[in-house]
Amino acid sequence: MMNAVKYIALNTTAYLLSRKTIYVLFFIALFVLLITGADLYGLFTSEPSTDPKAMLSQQASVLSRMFITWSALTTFASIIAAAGIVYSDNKSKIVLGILAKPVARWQYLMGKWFGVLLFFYGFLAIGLLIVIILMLYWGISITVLFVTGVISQVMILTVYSGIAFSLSLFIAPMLAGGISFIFFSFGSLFEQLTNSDLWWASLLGSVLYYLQPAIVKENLLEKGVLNNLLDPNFSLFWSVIGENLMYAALLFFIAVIFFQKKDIIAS
Amino acid sequence: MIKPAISIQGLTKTYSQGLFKDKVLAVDDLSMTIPEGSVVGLIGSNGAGKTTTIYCILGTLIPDAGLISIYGYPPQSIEARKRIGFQSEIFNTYNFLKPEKALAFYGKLAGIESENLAGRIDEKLSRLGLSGAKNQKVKSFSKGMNQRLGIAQALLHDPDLLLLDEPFTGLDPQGRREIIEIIQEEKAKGKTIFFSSHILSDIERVCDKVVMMRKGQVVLSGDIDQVTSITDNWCISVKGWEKEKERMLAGIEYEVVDFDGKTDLIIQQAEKEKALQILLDSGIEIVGLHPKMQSLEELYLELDNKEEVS
Repeated sequence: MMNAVKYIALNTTAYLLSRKTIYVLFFIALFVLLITGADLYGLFTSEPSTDPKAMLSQQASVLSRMFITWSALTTFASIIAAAGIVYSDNKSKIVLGILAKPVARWQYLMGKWFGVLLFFYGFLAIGLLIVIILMLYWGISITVLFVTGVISQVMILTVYSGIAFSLSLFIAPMLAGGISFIFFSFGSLFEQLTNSDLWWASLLGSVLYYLQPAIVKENLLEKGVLNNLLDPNFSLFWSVIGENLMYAALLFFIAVIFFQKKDIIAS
Repeated sequence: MIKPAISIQGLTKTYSQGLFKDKVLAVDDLSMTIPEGSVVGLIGSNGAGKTTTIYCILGTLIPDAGLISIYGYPPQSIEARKRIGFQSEIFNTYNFLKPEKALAFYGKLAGIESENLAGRIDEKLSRLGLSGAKNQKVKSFSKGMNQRLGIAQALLHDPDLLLLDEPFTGLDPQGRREIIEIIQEEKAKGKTIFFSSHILSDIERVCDKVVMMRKGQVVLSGDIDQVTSITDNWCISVKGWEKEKERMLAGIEYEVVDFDGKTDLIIQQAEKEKALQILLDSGIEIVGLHPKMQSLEELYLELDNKEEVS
């Protein structure tokens, strides 16, 4: 039953690898990483006598900034890819050839989404690898909190690409991607909007706040490198991560149910 | 009794169009049965509802009303899909793949065991004349090559039912002939083939049955032999016919068709006896007498004109 999902997912990942724009994105991401990690030069050339605490603080800041930027770019790209992946199959009518085989619609959708995730998890892993190499070079240990921070970034990618993917089955890909991008980029503003004096702004803020995925407010990556968070509330972090993954799964499930009764190609 | 491969009862499908979602009727209360082992051609002008019907059978379009069953299973079921080989009008696949990889993808989805897959892919590529293009990416394929690849993926899992939407699109005469041969081979194996086409001579050559659609409805359906012989005319073949002999048949409506040193006089049933008598009395050599067979193309145009007039 899962074989079809696997083949479609692997094919989708291969398709994304074949896209030239992905390589352009990769080099843009590397460039942005170099800019965000501009302090790296100072860290490599600093005197050994520098205060170790201040040094660690600076290293933690640079490392978390680098990985969060890399992760944000990856999530942004995954939103675009997820929003367009079924649309492009539909437009080219490739979907007909796939669904003519003994493949259920949910298997097709799951395969496409997992394929996108697989590709961007790999992309995220490259950024993580760079950060881990630097951590090992500086002798910084990898803490549970840091790992939790990494997992929360994986969760963000999964959730927002899931929103874009699910919405794109029913609305134009640009719109689906746009909505997902607004949730992803301005999510923290919705909570502030709930405190607005204007009733409509407060109402809008409340609706958006409860619609959007939960947010981990702590910078777990930086705190994880510094390892200075006293009594970290892991149960809260894990429940937010779990809740968000459930959110993505539920949205996908609802989308699959509606997609089941959707005309695939209107002639 | 021959079991139906496809059974359609009261199929109705509408599309929503425009800002106000106006309903456009694409298929209107269509019922038909495709017997197992038969080759059935679906004809009709553009917008007649052929592709909509095929997509409803395939399960990619959801009917507004009606029942479709494929070997007793609903179209979207895995059991039905296992038995279908489908090719769309213009076959498209992922451009970055080479034909072997593309077929491997479809073969795996069709559930072909990996130990049999490579052999089957080689066989189909060779049968469809694509062996020489193994190292080319699909994006460099011509329209005709894409169509061949589409047929190859449809045949790969040896399906019981071939569902082909305009399979001759983009093919040169050689390619068309090869597809006809493939259809004939599959028919000889006892497979069922249901396809739409605008090329009526090909339908006439390979099909046992024909279904003609117009405005979403079936306007003609039956065995090719039957539908093409529905005519009130007779054909009297004579030798040595000359222009001046036309006066003999004055008062009789007839049509003259010359070919191969012979002349066919097409005469209405009611005037057959009278015309024969005149020709016999004149001593002209009569070499044949048979009911006038109507070609599918003539029939198609006739029905189309009748519909337009009405």
